[in-house]
Amino acid sequence: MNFMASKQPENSLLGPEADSQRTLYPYVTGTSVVALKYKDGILMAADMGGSYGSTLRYKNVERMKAIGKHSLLGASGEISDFQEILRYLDDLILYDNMWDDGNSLGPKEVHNYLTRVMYNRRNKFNPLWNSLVLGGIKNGQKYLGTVSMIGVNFEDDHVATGFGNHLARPILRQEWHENLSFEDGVKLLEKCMRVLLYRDRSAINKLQIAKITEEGMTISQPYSLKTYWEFSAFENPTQGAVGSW
Amino acid sequence: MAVEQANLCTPQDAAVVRTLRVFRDPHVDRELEPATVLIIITKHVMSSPSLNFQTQISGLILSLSFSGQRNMSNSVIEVPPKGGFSFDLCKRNEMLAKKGVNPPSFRKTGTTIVGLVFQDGVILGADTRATEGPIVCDKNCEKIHYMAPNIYCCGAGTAADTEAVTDMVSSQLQLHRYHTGRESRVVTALTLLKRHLFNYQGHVSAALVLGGVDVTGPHLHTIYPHGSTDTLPFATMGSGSLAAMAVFESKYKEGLTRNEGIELVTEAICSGIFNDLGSGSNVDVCVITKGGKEYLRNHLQPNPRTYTNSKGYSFPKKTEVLLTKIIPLKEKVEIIEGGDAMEE
Repeated sequence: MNFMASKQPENSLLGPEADSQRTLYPYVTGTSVVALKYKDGILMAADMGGSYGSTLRYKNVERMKAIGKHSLLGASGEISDFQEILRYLDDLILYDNMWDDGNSLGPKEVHNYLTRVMYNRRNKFNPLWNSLVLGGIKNGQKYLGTVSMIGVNFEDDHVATGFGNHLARPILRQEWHENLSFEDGVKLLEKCMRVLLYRDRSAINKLQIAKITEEGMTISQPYSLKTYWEFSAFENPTQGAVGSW
Repeated sequence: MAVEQANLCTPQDAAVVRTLRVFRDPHVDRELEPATVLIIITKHVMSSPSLNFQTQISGLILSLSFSGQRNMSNSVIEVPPKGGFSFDLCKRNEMLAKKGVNPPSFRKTGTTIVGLVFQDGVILGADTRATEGPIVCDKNCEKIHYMAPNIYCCGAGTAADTEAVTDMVSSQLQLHRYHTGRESRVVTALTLLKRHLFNYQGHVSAALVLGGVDVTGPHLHTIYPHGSTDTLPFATMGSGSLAAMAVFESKYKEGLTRNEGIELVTEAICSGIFNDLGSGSNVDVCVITKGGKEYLRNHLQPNPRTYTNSKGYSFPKKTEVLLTKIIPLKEKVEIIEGGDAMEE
């Protein structure tokens, strides 16, 4: 959760010049990504903020990208490492396309590739500081999985990264069911993103929702959620308790 | 008394020593108190016009030595003890922890506790699991503590701390009620708790959700271990607070009825129980309104034993049965309810 906690691995075994080449702390980070399976495919939501420590430095960061024809990748954590991963995947998809054999990499394969990359980087004490969400649909088979920066990977009906694990997963566990319609799925995702907006300090009110189906990937225009602040208790919280705060 | 051996550099110093000698009662063989010496010297310093004398006097004080016949005379000058909490043991504990000697783990109530304000009052909820590190030490503990007939408090953090602090403030409130003859107010409990916790600078690890109804209306507060408080319409604390807050943030609205409120509180606690490892077992609910309170212990039990013996427990055949008749205890003292409280 606390990405800024410095994880200093034992660098006595590696030479001094290796230090400057390894990721020690994340600098520009994205917050949580939430995704779920619905009737026609996968729905994923992420806000567009890139924080530089405690400042919200970038407010137009697209943290979800299409991979090939069948997959959608969302990432939280270090933005530069996410861009590096996109480059790796570009090479992978290009190599696959060059075969020109009518077959294309599906979400399961891309997920496996990402797991190997993340785990191997972690073993060299030079991790890609990201938590990735990989969703897609191929030949009617929906797939939604996640990989963390240390290589922990699993697939599930609904996943989230970062704070989303604590705030969004409980809601999804209770309210997700098989064969959600598109509108219901979006409503459920918006519910989760609203709670994250209220309670995560690095979240901003500018989000995108991406969907991937057999037809392809579409990503919505950035929009903001309506929030409610008109509780009477918020207007004058210390009404009955004068002198308190 | 070694004053005479002090460095005498100026005639004024000699005057001081002479005064001291006078003070020393020749008939009583008693040493001069260090404090007395200080007063005498100070008096001389105050009345003296010259600066030189003062500096000489400070040299004089430093070279004074007192014999070891009095028990405290080895110290130079008595400094009054500092008030407040002494953090020396905390420093020692930190030093030991650095060397690898860790203190025994406390019994924590890794917890989900919630409170919300509804139409007619306040509803508090809590799970019932108490943990000691990775082990569940109490499957059905009580986390909703009594403070006053109209005020209850849920506690998260170290179990001993929450119990002790709520007990202490509860008795203080009782004494206050006897003193004033009025119903306790929630802000009273709030202030007593926050003063105590701030005084101990966060070392009393108690995170509390305090709720009640008094003459000024329903109130809900959260109190953090360092002593800060919040006044909120809905609140959650403990390790499961995020899971419970997710439920509250998506489903809370103002003007809930009693049943809606109980259902929402139960849902939030269940969210904590099933999504947080530090919380589990059953749901306790406490509803406080102007009319009175209702403590629903184990309102919901979503984690029953999966396999139970249908025959129950059967004693071995050889067990001796002493009596099959139950004789109730005789009441010796008659308890008078109410009494005459003072009129407002």
